Amino acid sequence: MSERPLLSLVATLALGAVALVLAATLPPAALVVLNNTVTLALFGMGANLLLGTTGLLSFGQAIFFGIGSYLVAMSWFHGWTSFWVAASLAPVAGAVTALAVGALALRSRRWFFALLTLGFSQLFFTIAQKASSLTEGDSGIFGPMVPRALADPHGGSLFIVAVATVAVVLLWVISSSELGLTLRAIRDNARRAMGLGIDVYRTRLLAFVLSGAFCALAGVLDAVNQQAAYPGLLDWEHSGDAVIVSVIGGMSSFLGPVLGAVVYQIGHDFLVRATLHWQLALGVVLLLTVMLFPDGLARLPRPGLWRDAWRAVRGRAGGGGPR
Amino acid sequence: MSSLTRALVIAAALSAAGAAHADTIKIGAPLVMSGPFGSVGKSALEGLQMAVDDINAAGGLLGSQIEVVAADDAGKPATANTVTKAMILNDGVKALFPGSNSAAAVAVEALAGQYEVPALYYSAADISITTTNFNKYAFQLSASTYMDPRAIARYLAKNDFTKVFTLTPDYNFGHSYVTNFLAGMKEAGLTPNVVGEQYPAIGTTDFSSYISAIVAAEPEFVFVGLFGGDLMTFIRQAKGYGLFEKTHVGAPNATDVLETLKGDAPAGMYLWARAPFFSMDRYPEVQKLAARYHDKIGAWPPEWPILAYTAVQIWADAVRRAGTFDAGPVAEALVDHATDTIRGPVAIRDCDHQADAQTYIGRIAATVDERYGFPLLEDLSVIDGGDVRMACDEAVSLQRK
Amino acid sequence: MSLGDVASYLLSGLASAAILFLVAAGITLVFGGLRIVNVAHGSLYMYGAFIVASPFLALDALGAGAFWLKLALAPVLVGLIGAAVEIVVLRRLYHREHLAQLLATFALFYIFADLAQQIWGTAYRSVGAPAVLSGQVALFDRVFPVYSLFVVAVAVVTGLGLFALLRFTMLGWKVRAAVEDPELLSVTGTDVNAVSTLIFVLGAVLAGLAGAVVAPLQAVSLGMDASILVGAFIVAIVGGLGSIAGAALGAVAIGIFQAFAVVLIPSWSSVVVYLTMILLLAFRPEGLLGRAE
Repeated sequence: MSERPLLSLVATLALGAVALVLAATLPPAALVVLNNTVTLALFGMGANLLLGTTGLLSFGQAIFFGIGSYLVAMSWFHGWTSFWVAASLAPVAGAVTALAVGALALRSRRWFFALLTLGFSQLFFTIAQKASSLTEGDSGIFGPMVPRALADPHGGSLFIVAVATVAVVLLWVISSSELGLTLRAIRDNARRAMGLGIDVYRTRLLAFVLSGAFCALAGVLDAVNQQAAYPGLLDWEHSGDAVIVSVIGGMSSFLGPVLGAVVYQIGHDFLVRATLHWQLALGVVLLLTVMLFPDGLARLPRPGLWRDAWRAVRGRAGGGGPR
Repeated sequence: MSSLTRALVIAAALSAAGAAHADTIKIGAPLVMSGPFGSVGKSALEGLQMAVDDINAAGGLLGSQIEVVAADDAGKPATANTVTKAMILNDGVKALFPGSNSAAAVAVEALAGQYEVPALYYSAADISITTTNFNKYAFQLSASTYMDPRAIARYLAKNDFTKVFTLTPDYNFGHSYVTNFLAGMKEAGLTPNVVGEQYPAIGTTDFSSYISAIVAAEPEFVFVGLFGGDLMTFIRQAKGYGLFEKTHVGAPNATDVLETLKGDAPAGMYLWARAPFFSMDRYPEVQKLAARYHDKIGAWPPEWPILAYTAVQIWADAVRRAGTFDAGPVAEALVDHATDTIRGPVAIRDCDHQADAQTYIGRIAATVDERYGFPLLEDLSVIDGGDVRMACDEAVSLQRK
Repeated sequence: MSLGDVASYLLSGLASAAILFLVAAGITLVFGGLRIVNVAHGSLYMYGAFIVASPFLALDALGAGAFWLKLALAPVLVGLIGAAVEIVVLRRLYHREHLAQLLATFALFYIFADLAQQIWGTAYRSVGAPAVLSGQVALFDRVFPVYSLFVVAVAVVTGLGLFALLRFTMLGWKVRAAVEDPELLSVTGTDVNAVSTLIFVLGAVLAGLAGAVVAPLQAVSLGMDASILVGAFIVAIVGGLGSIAGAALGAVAIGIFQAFAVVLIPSWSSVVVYLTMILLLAFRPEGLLGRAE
């Protein structure tokens, strides 16, 4: 996102406008697909704040997504508070949890960080399964947990699109701010950033907290869409979904995860109905993206792309080895 | 012909053509077709399809042909939610025949109530379906977790077991099963002494510690509530630890156990099931269905295809009597009427839509039956659902308003 | 708790540890040698199990011998799959950042899962152990399955063999050298590419062996790939990524802990395991026997 940040903002607003129109006009069956896509896009954008912008691979963002969904669900099920209060508190809850998790997790680097977040994801997943008096365990919580206006297909969709668009604009503000610059500096060369006087640990932690807030918001939107919360929302495979869409769409492009979400969701929904082998297609697309198009699909229309892809397939000539 | 008459003729022709195209009615089946319990959904689908084929061959239902829309929910509530919503919104299904576990059942039931589509359950059995999660469009055709364990307790009463160890999966079904078994024992005049209560997670692959714990506790009866792949794993491992020689063990899913383990099935083990065809000689239609399934698939059917076939029969009968596919009248027609099905008459009562489903219980025979290649159940008992259902007052009081 | 009880839990724990070790050893070897976190390792394990649990060509006609043949065949076939993966996919990504390799194995996880469904269908499979291993052995007034002892024996033999291979053979020396200093190794004329493939294949063979050995113990079904993965990673991490001895230590610790925890703190045993992994990674990421970075 170093080039043309303003273009990203314009694109975001344009996409948001298009999505609003779709949310108002599509038939209910198609709205489910739209909602899934927008929610996944926000989830991916939230996770990409860590992955693409800060260079941190986390397999734990589903924790915060799940917290968002569960807060809405449990507030309804146990009668704690209204939907609007729960929805507003969700990003805060996500941020606070992220602070606790991140403080511990960011003590380690690279693969250890990734594996650590994976461990946390599974830990929270297990807690959601076991604390059944709160969460209803493996059965999950299903039912009319959102106000009438949002349970209505169009009302719900408009809400989801509107909130997501505002959230992505907020992410744009963060990304194009000095914080964003700092994060990218850390991503590119953490040691040099430290030499420049940047507190790498604290800044990463801030990114982690912000990412947690946005992922929790995505969870709230998911609760509006599915009217459900269940432990599977918190496991590492769901965390992996956010990573997949960011990679496919392009980690280093601001709207990359959105593109990735569109490709993933539409592909998934279409493929699931056409054939049972959507996992194969997903795996192949991801593999090809990683091997041939490391910058993701967002950077596809670029001169010299195919030449670079061919080179990537051949690997560096001869040697190289495991390092 | 005047232009008005021509227009009317064309309009009539078009509407007739339109009606001819609207001749296919769809029913939805969110089923578990993958993972350790995949055989439940896949075999159930066969039963659903056979029932639909038979209806279509006999001229359809109310003049329309029926089509099954099936989708894999992988036994997960989230997936069940997604695929069921798609069936309702995209395919406009007129009824749901969920063939998955109790966790997925909760999700489907919420949708059935929200979108007003009758859902007939025959595999998921958790009591919450007819109580805490109940809505007027949900129907339970099998013995619930309230009924099954009570049926078994009655059967065991003659043995005077008191020291009991329970092993059930760690979710709503598992906990409910145990509570109701212990209550059933008390109602049958026994005083249960629980020497152990374990709740392994679904998909546990290593039961050796649980088995060691059971052996250490020296129970007189082990009440196992596992099913599908988990149950097979448990039995194989338990055999290795000599559990079946040390104590009595009972588990559900008789058909799966016998047909999968065949000669390896531990003789003397207590098993129960809802529709084991080999113990249902008095229902010739069931035997015919079993033979038909065997001819097509090459293996003998578990209980799911029989239960699924019956479910479609019951729904179709209600549709005929209501004279429409609309949810409201069909839901009304489904209750308080004894429908003749391949497994005898089935009646659904009004207060909680629970059918008077039977439970078959017996012990594994020592020798393999030549016809089928697996041992059958001896000391067989059939407990009628009407005797072990929850009292209506209690059920209604648990239902959410 | 009587002596028989303790012995019982210890043996169950060791039997679980044996499987965990076999899977974790492959993970730790590949990480130590190639710095790759192989998410598809669970898939290779599952394939090993399916090969043993399914009818294979006409082998079953051989009766009792079929099991042994499949047991020997499974690691070989899975090893070949591993070779294909390394040559076709991973080798082309060595010059890229490690994230790319992890994501590639993640993609392969999905691909393998789908292919498994196409080859073996969605039903679970149940296979019995051969008669000679199906018996029971009496110890401390308890009865134990012979097969569990067999699994422990396989793990011990494999572990010792692996250790010897890496410590005392030329091949093992090359593997360790490839880890320490690949440039220097290539100067000696060794084909470093071949060594990388060998390391990966070895990891795959271990995964396939683990799956093959575990097949008679449980229902073999789709989903085995994901369910073994987290546990095996935890063991490898606790032991120290890159250390075979560490994997053994971690496996025994976690296997035995879980065996006792299941009866003592049933609901929260898995929570304790995850917490251990988290704390270890945060404060001692090199695990028990790994080397500090």
